[in-house]
Amino acid sequence: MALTLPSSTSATNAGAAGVASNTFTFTTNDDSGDDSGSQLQTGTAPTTTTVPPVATSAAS
Amino acid sequence: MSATSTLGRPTKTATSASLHSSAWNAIGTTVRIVVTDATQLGSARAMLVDDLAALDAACSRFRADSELMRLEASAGKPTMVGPLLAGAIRAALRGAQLTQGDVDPTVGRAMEAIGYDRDFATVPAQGGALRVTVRHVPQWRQIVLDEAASLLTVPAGVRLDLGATAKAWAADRSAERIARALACGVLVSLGGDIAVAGDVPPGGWSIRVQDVAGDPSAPDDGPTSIIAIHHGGLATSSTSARRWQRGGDVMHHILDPRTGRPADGLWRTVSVAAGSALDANIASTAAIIRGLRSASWLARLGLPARLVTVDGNVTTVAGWPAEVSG
Repeated sequence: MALTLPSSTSATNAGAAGVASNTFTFTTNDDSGDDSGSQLQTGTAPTTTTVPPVATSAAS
Repeated sequence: MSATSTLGRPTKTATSASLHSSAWNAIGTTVRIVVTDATQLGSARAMLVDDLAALDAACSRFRADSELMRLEASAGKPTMVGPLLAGAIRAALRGAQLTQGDVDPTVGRAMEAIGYDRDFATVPAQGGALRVTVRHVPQWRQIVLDEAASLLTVPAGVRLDLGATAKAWAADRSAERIARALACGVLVSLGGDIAVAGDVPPGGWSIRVQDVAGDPSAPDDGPTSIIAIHHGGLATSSTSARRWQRGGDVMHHILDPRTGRPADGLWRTVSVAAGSALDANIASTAAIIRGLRSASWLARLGLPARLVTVDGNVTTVAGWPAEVSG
């Protein structure tokens, strides 16, 4: 299942009619200005396959 | 049909789907080599065995006689180092520089403080509670590597742990060296850090990406993905592997250099494909430490990645294929 992770999230707690809503907003550490890693070398994107795997990538 | 490798030299695509592999344990992890030419498997394995023996002698922090451990006697003075240790140090400093210190090789003492002070196979699974001082580790900027003079200066008292990057760097180095020497396609996997070089099998190198790891040959116990890569490298970092307990605390091997404690973030496993296994490893390790902002960071860098939360939810970025198996 894909998980969507916005860089900032708001949650609204709408109370009963006539009661002011409470809006909670938290902003995660927005990394839009973070240029670290910009020299990491990209390659071609992996592709899907039905061929049986010949190796496993797992932390071990 | 031809393709171009990461070195820019022309390579042919392997014409047979038959690949030939050998696996064994070395340098404290599982080693696998796969080649496109059956007649070269023995030679390829022998070359990799030699490479890993040399790597261990140069870079192990679990051998008193390794070049890395003998460095400590230099007590902060410039010391001559061999090309293997210099290369591994260069790879580690690349990781530190490009992640602003999130992947830092100077965590050796912090790693020992939480109990990872010997080959992992002999680290006791359980132990008494630890008294650990939380401190800011990053001292990587104090390491000076003068490659022209083969001189390395490490501050007195600092113990290096090259485990985060050395395996991946070694996988890149050996895959390229073996592919050149034997003129065939080669995949080298060192504990899940995978590098490929030379001829490309039809459809690429098919690889299972496993989330929860212990023994990679064990049955899957987390969401898995099967993908193919054609060049470069693939790495997976996980807080689910190499775990042990001290008191009531679960420890693992990925430390946050800003605290000296195991990273405690959103992701339990991150897999990244990049132009090399080294860069894939740098990115996957940093992503574990960086937590929530990692997905957007990897996407902006254009590094295809698969991230699994501690709850087992999967998100993919930058062209990583959709899940086709479970």
